[in-house]
Amino acid sequence: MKKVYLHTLTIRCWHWINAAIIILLTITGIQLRAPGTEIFAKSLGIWVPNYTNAVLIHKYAGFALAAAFLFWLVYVIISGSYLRHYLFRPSDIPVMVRQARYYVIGLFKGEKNPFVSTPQGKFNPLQKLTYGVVLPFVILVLIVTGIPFSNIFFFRDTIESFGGIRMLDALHVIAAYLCLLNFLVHLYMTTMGHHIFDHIKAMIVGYEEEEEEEEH
Amino acid sequence: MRFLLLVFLFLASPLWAIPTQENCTDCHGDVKKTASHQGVSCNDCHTEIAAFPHKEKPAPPTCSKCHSNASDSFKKSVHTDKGLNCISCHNVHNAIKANDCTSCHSKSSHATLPSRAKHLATLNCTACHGVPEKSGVTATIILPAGASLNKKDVDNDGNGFIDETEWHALEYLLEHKFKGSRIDRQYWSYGNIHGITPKPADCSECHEKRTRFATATAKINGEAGYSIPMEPGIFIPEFPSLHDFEKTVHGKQGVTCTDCHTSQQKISDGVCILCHEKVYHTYKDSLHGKQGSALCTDCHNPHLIKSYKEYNAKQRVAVCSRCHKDYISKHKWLPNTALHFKYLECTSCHSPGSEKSMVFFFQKKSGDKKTALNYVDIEGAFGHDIKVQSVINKYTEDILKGNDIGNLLQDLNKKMNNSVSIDAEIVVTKVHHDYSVTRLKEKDCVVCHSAQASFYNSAYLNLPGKEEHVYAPVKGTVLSTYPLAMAMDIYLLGEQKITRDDLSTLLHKAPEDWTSYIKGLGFKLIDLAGICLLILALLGCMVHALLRILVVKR
Repeated sequence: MKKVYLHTLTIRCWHWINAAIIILLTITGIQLRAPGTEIFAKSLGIWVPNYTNAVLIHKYAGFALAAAFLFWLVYVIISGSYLRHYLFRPSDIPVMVRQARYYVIGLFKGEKNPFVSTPQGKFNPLQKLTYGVVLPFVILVLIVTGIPFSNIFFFRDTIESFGGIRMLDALHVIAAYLCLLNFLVHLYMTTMGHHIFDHIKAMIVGYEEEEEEEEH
Repeated sequence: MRFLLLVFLFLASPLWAIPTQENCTDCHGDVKKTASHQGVSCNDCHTEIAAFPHKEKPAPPTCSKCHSNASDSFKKSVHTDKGLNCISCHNVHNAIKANDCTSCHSKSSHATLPSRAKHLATLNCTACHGVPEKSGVTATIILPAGASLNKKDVDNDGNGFIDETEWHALEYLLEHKFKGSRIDRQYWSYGNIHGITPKPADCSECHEKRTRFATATAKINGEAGYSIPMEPGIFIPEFPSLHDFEKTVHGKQGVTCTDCHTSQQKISDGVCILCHEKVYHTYKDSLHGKQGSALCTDCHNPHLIKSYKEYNAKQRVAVCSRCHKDYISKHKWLPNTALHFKYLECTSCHSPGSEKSMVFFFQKKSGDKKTALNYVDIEGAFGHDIKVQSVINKYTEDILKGNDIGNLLQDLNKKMNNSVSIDAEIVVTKVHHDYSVTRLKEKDCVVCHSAQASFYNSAYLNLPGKEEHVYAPVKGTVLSTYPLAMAMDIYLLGEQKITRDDLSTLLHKAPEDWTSYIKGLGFKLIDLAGICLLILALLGCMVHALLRILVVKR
C-alpha cells in the first residue's frame, strides 16, 4: 500500500465547512418545505430549530454557502486545480463509460477500478462531470435563486425578472432536490475506497491509501 | 456702681429666660420623642414658650415649620374641616406609630362599596380617600425554586407589553408547567396622604377614566428576574358607565337599563333571547353551547357591547382566551404561532359558517410601536370633523381598488411624516355563532395559504370614523397593490408544496387515473419528482451496498 497526497489543507477545511453548511441548509430546508417537520422530529426526540429560527438559519447558512462557493471557485481557478482535477475533456468520455460500467458490473466481477487517483488527477471522469460542471451549476442556481428570498422587497425587480416568486421558488426547489440527490450519492460513494472509511479519512488527513501498482 | 448695673442687666436679660431641654424635662420628664424627632428640641416645635413660667395651655406646636407640604395639604383636607390637627393622628411624644385610619374610623362599613371585601383587602384607605401621586398594580409571578420563565413565553409577540391574550396564555402556562408557582397582586398607591378628600374617588376613576391605577407591571421572579408592563384592565375591569353605554350598540338601538334589568338578579340568557333568538338557538344547539355551557354574558359584556367590527383580531382572541387559556400550546403545531394570532382571530378557523374577510387597516409608527390609526389622525390629515365616506370619495366614486388605497396611503404619509403603513387581518365580518369545529385533524396550511381561500374574495379597508369604524369594500383584492403583492405571493407558496393528502390520493388512484391526476398537480410535481428521485437513489445505494457485501470478493 502506498500513501498518495490528494487533498490540500485548504480544500479539506473548505470541504468540512461546506458539509456543515449543506447539512444545516438541508435540515432547515426540509422544515421550510414541510412545516410541522419539527413536531415530528421532536416526537422522535431529535432536536431541530423552531420554524422561525429555521427561516433565519436557512437564510444565513445560504449566505455562508455563497461565500464558500465563491472561495472554492477562486481557489480552484487560481491554484490551477480546476485545470488539473476538474476539467472534463473529450478524451474523458471513453474512460467515463468504463468507470460507469465498473460501478454497475465490473465491481461485482472483481475487476479493478479503471481509475486510480493521483496528485496529477484525483477525480475520475464521472467525478469531474459532477464536481466540475453539474454541482457548481446546481449550487449557483441555488444561490442565485436563494438570495432574492432573503429580502423579497429589496429584490422585487430581480424576482419579477425571474417570472415571479413562484417561478423563483420552483427553480430553487428543483436545484435543492438535485443537491440533496448529490449529497445522498456522495455519502454512499465515500464508502467505495479500499476500506469503507478510506475516502473520509483522506478528506481529514489529506492522504489516501492506494494499492501499489504491479510492476510489469 | 456702673459695673454692678451691667451685671444686673445681663442677668435680667431674656436670653437667660429661654428654656432649654433640660428645663422642660424638669417638669415633663415622662415625655419621650419618636425616632424621627430625636434631633429636634422642645422649642423647635413649641415656639410660643419663650419664658418661664409658660402659659398653662400653650398654643399647639407649629408642625408646618418643617412639614409645610403635608401641612398645606392637610389644611385643605376634610380632616381640618372637622377640627382635627396634626397630633390627632401623630403622637410625636411617644415612640409609637401614627394612628392609622381605623383608630377613628373603626366602624366604617363601606356597605355600598361593590366587591367590598376585595376592595378593602387590596387597597389602602388613601387610594380612594386621598389623592395618590402614583398608583398601579404589580403582579409578581413567583416561580418554584430554580425555575425560570423565558421572556418569549410571557410576551409572545415581543412588543414589550403583556396584553390580555398573553396574560391568559401565561396563566395557563404557570398552572400546567410551573406547578407551585403563584401570582401575588399588589395594588399600590403613594403620595399625598394628608389631603383626605371630602368624598372618596368615584368608581370611574379606576374603572373607566383610569386616572388611578392606570399602569400595571408583571414582575417575574426566578433565576433571571425581569419586569414587563402589562394591561391594567386585566386586574381592574372596566366599569359599565351610562355615558359610554349610549355609544354602544345596545345604547344606540335605544335599549334602556330596565329592558334587561327586570329584577335585582344577575341577568341570564333569557334576557338576551328576547332580541337575539336566532343567534341564541344557533349557539345553544352547537357543541360549544352544549358542552361549554357559557352564557351570552361570558363572552359579551352587555354594557360595553361593541360591534365586532370595532374589535381587531387580538381583541377578539382575548374574548376566547378567557376560557381557552391554553390556545398557544394547543396551536404549537402552527408555524409562527404568535404571528398567526396577531393576524387571525379564533373564529377565522373555528367557525366555518362565518364569513371571513381580509381587512386592511392603516397603522402609524411611533418609536418602536405601531398602533392603528384613530379618528384624530384622520381629522389631522383630512380636516376637522371630516366624514370617513367623504375621504373615501376623494379617491374613488366607485368601490376602492388597490391603486386608490395606494394613493390614500401616500397622502396619509405626506401629512404624517411617512409614519403610516398598511397591514391586514383575516377576521370574521359576518358572524355565525356555531363554534363546534375543532379542526383537530385538519392542519393544512393551504386552507388559508391559497389563492382559492374564501377571504380573498371579500376584502375591506377599515377606517376609524368619529363614532364607529367604517368598512369600505375593496374590489377584488388589494394583492395587486405594489409591493404587497410580493408579500402575499410568498405566503401562497404553500400551494406549491405537495401534502400528505396529495400523496395518499395519488396512491389510492387507479393506475389509469394517475396521468390526469399528476398533470393537475402543477408546481407540486417538483416535490413529487424530487421525492421519487431521492427514494430511487436511496434504494439504488442500498441495493448496490447489499450486492457489494454479498458478491464482491476481496
